[in-house]
Amino acid sequence: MRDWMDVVKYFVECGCDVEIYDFVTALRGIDTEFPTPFFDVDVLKDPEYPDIRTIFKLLTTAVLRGTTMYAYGIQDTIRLLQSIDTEKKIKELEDILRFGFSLCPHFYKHFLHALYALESYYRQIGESPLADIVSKMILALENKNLEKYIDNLEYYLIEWRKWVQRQENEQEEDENEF
Amino acid sequence: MSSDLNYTRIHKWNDVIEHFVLHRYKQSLWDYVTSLRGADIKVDNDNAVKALVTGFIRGIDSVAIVVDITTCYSYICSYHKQHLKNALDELLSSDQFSHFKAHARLGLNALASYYSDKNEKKLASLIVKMSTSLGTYNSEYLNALEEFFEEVKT
Repeated sequence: MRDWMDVVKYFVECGCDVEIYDFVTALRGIDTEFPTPFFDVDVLKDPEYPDIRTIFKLLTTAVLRGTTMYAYGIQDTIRLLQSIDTEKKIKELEDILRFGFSLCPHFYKHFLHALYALESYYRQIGESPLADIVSKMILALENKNLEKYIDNLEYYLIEWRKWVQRQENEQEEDENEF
Repeated sequence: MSSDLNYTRIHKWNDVIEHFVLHRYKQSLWDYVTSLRGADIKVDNDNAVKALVTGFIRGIDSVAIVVDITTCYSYICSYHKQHLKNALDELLSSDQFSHFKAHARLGLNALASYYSDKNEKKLASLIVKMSTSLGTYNSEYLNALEEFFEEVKT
């Protein structure tokens, strides 16, 4: 998927109501405000990322959204992870995820279901490699292994970008042939 | 309790999504889908917000979601209006709910546009009223909600 609408459209066409529900109910970022003085992290010293809640959103919801123009999307997640240059910062991301999920189990449950729906989407369109990575992200989350989750998220972003590039190349070739 | 409602006039969340997808109303689709999840905040009385706001936005459910518009209707039928108003006043005035509330308002506006497309102008205007009053004039929100149910009674 390039963006969330591709997934919704696909499930609508297939009449997969449960998957639609599971996917869309995690598209809104977490409601809960994070207590601001709680974290004093290096990641926040980057002016791009104003607060913990935004960072949490980039590590979760933004991945489901794909590329978006009007809200935080996967392009912001890519930028965030590219800016992570120290072990300390990686640990901070893990802490932020752990804290956010524990603060908000309601969101955690929805996010997990949305990842299952995303995995199902990739399988159904025949993109097993992406489905497999999403499956690993799910497993890591279920095992509360957030280091593994971030590892797999990084891997997903790399493969996702390659997939988007492939789609664009194919589209260009089709247009040239025409 | 909800058997006196005319279900054919009430939205189903999946039909609303399908409508926006078919017409490529991406912004409306976005506004609607991001209001379908209940608030993440767990406090006393949050079931009232879930039933009266999220339950209503979802409409009739076909995939066994616990809270939908029939739950919303049960609340309207079972509780005194002042009790419901107090619950909404207390919760929606809290900063914790501001993110949820903003999305709920946009979701209601998108839903109103769906009813308008379906030529249900009266219902659409009631939902617009609900959107503008949610969180600030909750008694008006509840009045419009009651009127909506009166309108769709068989």
